[in-house]
Amino acid sequence: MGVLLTAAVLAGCGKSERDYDVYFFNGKSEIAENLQDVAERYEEETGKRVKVFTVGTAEGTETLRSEIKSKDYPTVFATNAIGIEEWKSAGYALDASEIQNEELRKLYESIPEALQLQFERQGNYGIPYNIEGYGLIANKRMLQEILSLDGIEDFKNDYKAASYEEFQGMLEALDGYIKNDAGSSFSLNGNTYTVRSDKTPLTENLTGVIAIAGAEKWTYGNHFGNYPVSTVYGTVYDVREEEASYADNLKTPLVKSLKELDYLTRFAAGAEGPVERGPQFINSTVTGYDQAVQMLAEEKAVFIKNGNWIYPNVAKISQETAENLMMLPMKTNFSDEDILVEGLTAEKMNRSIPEFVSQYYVINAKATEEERREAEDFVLWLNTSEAGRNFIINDFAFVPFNADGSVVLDNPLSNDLIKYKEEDNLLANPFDAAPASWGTESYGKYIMEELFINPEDWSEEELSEIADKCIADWKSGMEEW
Amino acid sequence: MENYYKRWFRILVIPAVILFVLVILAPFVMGVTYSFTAWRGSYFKGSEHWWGALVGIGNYLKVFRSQKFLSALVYTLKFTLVAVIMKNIVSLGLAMMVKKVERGKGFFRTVYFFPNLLGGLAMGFVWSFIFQNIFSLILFGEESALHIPFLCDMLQDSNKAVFAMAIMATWQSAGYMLLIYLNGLNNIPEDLYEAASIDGASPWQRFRHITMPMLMPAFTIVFFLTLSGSFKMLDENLALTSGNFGTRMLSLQILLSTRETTPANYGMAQAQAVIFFILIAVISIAQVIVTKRKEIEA
Repeated sequence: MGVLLTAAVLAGCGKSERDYDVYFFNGKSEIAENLQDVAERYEEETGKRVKVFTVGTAEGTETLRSEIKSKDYPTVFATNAIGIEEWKSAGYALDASEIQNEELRKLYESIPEALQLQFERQGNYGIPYNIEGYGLIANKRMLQEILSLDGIEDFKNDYKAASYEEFQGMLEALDGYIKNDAGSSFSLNGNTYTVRSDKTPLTENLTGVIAIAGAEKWTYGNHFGNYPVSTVYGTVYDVREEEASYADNLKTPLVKSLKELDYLTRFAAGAEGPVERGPQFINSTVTGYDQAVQMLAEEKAVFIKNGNWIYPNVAKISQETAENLMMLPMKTNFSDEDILVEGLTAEKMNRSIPEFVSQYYVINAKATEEERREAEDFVLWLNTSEAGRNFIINDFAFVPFNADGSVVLDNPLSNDLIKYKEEDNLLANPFDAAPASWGTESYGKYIMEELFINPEDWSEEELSEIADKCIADWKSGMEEW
Repeated sequence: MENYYKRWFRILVIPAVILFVLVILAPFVMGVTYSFTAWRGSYFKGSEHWWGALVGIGNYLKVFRSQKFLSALVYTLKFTLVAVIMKNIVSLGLAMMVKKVERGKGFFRTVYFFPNLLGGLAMGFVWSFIFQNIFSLILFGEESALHIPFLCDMLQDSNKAVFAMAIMATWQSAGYMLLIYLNGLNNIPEDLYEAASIDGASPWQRFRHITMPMLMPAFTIVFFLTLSGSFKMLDENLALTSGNFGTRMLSLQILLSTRETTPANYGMAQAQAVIFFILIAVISIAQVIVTKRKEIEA
């Protein structure tokens, strides 16, 4: 038995015959099943076989590390804007200039500079999977009902132009309505909106204004953290290139962002009534991500601060709510003096949403010439052929990086992303270059462990101390590279 | 037959040795070597080969300067102290109860042993529900009849979480330890107790002067099993608290440290693993020495 086992182990190390032409290591578990269909279709059209392997979640990178060093290495793999540092340094990322396929090289070159996958501002290493974005997601139908509006466009435009103070007025008026304070009004962009005086079947279930996933550090650690970071760093490259000590500039924006959370968390919706800060606010069986999405879907909350990816989860619970979602910019309390990024103003921040590329297709530079050619053909087909685009838009429900107004998706939030992009109301995602886990193990962690658990008003000293800790963690994280 | 094994011993042992070398020894030696390099998982920083990326004891210095590692070490020691005491008291208590039971002994043994069969992660999520909802809201919350603040929100406080994890670990392993203690108890001759009773010894005196000394071999085994088990605990830590509120233990610290920098610093993670190995090795060697001495005494 032992001999057999040993023999089997040794045999396993030998060279095996491959039964595929392209091996794609995918980084997004949401599209794992669709990719099997893609592979079938590709084989039908071209006769080439594609092997797809997906590991979602945090273990993906670890699996890719061992897989790419094995004899049956992937010929195309996925990574993000920060992961490229590793793959470039290890010699696995193929630059656009080395792409053999003329057409594919042109596609690489057509990527707007801000979305290119670069390492130290050099090179162009990948084709974006898609564009994702986040902001304050609103239930359109609910707003129309509460404010007795016929359409939503005027509200949307007024909201985008509104100041942070007006935003606060809106939250308070909506909160008053939910708590049975009849008929108060607020103004956005100078125009007055009045909440109705009675509850309706649609609004009677509301328990709070915003659904907040207090138990999930990433929802505020990563995405909310990008707002203060954006005031100091314009792009991921700025984060990488500035001295670590430049992070001292984050102090005021961080404190302000915490103050904003102090404010927002007073309007949190719960399953049966408002949730107040304290142990229940960070209890993962009460305020987890799923619970927060569910509160929005079941119309217990008007807003949620999250990204366009929540659409399928909302649709699973309520198709109707999902179709009524719209993406609004998150309002922030920064002033022009806080913002160091050239060309960015508080006004611009308040009408923009952060959009970013979560994953890129990268050709394995260490594959043989033949394997690379096959891999290039596949990536080109997926991104430019009619069948490939159809998969991307309709099956993956992705916003293609080169989408324009002619692309219409089922997900209204994704359609909004395209509009913000066309209007150029975009914020970058410099947060991506923050030291790994700064969002969840520093900023988000302190928010959860020291602030969300505390029902009292947060003191100025406390917030200042937390901001100092975040900056210290940022600096030490930067030095570890 | 005996002769056959003796004569062919060297050949028969080869498969086991090959497997051991391939899956344990080689990775171990590589791991120790890599802990002295700037290893980034998929490449060595600044070189094609590990010998080009040597950083001496740099990784170890970094580990000992790392606040996260040190606090994980302290927290692991805290947890181990509480868990070893709790597991021993509970399993010995259960063993003495089960021994007294006349009918249905097998039933109790099975029931107590049952939690042992469940995986740590799955159980961790079950217990996280118990601590967060049943304990905090239904049983001991502010609105329940029996309000015990210590048992509420146990996963959101570094000190309470020690006990939460110890409760869960005890629940899981007490049945196993119970079997060892039960075996020890059964090996104590009844006539010792009889003689002591005749001489007028109280139950406590009987426990103190007969049960305890006679149970020492069983205690030694249970002590070291619980000690190393608690020291190495990962699943429960991950599922219950994910290391939040300063509850990160050593195993979790090693697991998470490759995710805390980009690119991942595997050299430093490996250095932590080597230190962790040495700590566990010390416990195991102590166990071997103590057990051997006991055997000679016996």
